[in-house]
Amino acid sequence: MKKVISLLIIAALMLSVGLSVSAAVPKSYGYDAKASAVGAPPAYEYSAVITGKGLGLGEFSSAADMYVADDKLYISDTGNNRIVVLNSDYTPSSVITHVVTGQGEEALNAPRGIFYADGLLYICDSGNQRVIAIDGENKVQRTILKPDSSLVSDMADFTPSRVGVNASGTVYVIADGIYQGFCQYDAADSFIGFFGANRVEITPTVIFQHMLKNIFTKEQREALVRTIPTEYSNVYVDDEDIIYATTHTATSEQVRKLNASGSNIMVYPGSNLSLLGTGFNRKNFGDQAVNYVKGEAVKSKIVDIHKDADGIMAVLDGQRGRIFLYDNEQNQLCIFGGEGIQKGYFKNAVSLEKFGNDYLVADTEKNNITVFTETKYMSNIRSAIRAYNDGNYDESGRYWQMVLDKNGNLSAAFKGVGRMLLNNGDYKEAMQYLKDGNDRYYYSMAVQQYRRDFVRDNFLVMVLVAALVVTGLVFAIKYLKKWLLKGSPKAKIKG
Amino acid sequence: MTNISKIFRGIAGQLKTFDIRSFSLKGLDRSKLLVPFGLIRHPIETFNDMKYEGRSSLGVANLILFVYFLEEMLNFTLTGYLFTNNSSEDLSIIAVFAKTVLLVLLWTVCNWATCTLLEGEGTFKQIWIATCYSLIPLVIMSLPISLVSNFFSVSEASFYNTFTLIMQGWFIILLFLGMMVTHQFTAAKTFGSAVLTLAMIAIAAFFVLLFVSIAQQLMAFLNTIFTELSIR
Repeated sequence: MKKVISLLIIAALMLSVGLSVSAAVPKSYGYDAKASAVGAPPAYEYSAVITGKGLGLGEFSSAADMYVADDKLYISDTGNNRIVVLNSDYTPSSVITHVVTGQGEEALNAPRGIFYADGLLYICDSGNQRVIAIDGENKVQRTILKPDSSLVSDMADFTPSRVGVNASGTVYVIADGIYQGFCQYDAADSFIGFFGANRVEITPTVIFQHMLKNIFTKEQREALVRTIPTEYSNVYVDDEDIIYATTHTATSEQVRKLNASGSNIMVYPGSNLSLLGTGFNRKNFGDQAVNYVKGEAVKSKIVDIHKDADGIMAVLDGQRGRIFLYDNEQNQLCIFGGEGIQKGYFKNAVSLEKFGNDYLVADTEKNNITVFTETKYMSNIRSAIRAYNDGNYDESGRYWQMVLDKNGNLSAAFKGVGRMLLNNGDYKEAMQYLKDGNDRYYYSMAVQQYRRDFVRDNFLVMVLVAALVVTGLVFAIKYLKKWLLKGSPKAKIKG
Repeated sequence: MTNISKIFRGIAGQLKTFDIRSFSLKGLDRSKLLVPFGLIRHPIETFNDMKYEGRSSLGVANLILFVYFLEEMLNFTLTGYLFTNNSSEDLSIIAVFAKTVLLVLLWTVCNWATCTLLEGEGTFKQIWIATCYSLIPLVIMSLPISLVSNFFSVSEASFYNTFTLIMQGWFIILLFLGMMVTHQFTAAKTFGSAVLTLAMIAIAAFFVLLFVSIAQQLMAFLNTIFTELSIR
């Protein structure tokens, strides 16, 4: 009997160990209003992995970029010198290895960034030092060459890595070793100039070097770290023709929204609170907490961005393979993905795209593309945002309430409910929700409304109370003074 | 070298005259409680009275400091949400104590050490009292400002900022006058001594941090040795 029981116990223990092992996948998380990491329900779940082999096309080799257009997924398979085109059900449609020019067929050489606009597929044909645009029959319609500028050395190679095109046919190219910003080309393929130049990020090292530059000898100066502007890592042009740029070396403002003159017009959370002073705005994207590995801070490196029709912006952190979703006010919505060798995790994530409702992430080391599908929780968030964009604040608030039932740490949900309450005139409740959601701007609006209503309803009482308090204070001070002075008649008091 | 021995002799002298009973409010001339309010309208005259006519009281000074310490704790939680990033669960009594009482102590020690060398007249006790009495604008204004800030919106932030600035400016002016009268310095010399005092505070803070970090490492080292020995 004893043996049986002990066997049972051992079996139970082993089972529980087995269970705990299978459950030991990294947990989904998010950031609360105070920017500390807290648990969150999964917003996206891994659903499939696309490999070249699985498609019957041979393994991908360091696939660099993806682009979705007209229900087709274009994958730039750099190592294999080809572009793979997939249908919306992830079956192969075609493979582009050669393009047709006036001189005949030419092979692609290490294609990197791709972009699709107005029926033309733009390819950074980096091995051939050019950007080409091909039509549906692989005929080259546009050819963009190295910028004709005194700022770019004649000796240097032109290796375009990413490309973006707006509706008027202006092309923005990011090339290796060009720090002046995007190379901007007009619709006639001629170089106009550099666009949206980054500034040197002011770090203590930069300040220190700048101060000591005059004292240093020539040799010492040459040994210094070169202060160069942060380089753009990616470009995205959304449906409204607005250019989004990412930098992976900067630690704040990693995602920028550039207007036609190249300045950053991104509205960061809290930027409308300048009256309150600094310290209330957040300009950094990706992970809020900084991890230290062997004394070095490991920060998020934003390598790709996607903005969809609902205004939801997804950014990809190449450092840890995480995807961060933001609403159109840059409030964090959810985080998924991560570093690892399991399915749904990445070793070197480089590109992010959205295909239908799925997010796709390309990994150059695992040589595959991971598909993430939306959970019910995320579809509620999306519905809430969609309803808010349409002006249906009540509906939006109801969806946010449903989200809040699942995740009581999501600031965006508190904000959403708070704004609905504010819109409905329930100011006191709204203040509480907006405070929980850390939305100072709308909280301030709620305070104004609540204060106005309160004064209107209780004006007489307030005046009476104020009068009573003032007279009370005057008498209290008078008698207190008298009592205090009683002890020493000689004491003289100034004032 | 003589300066250092002077400092140590001074400290020894201070310790000799140290009297725990002077800290209590028992047997206090009640009218002295009104003196800090006299600073509002006649700061220089009141500081003079405090120094030369015995109108100051260590008990009252400590009371002001204690009230200020309590108010700072209240302010931490009572300031309107718009104007602070603090929330009540972050309140640490030690941090508030360091920000109020320890800072006043540090100021007093550094100011006394500096001004003794600059031939200022003030004793340690007088500096302590003058500093604590100078806190009176903060005691009077900070709590009302925090309470009222709850009813302010973003567009009224400038009111909050202005009141805070007035409060702090007033405090600094009082402190300046207090030091001037206590040490019988000219204005320029007071300013110079204040700058030196701030520099000394910075140095002292550096040494405290250094000491704490070394002490931590020493503790860790001793801990390791103890663990090694006990496990063997």
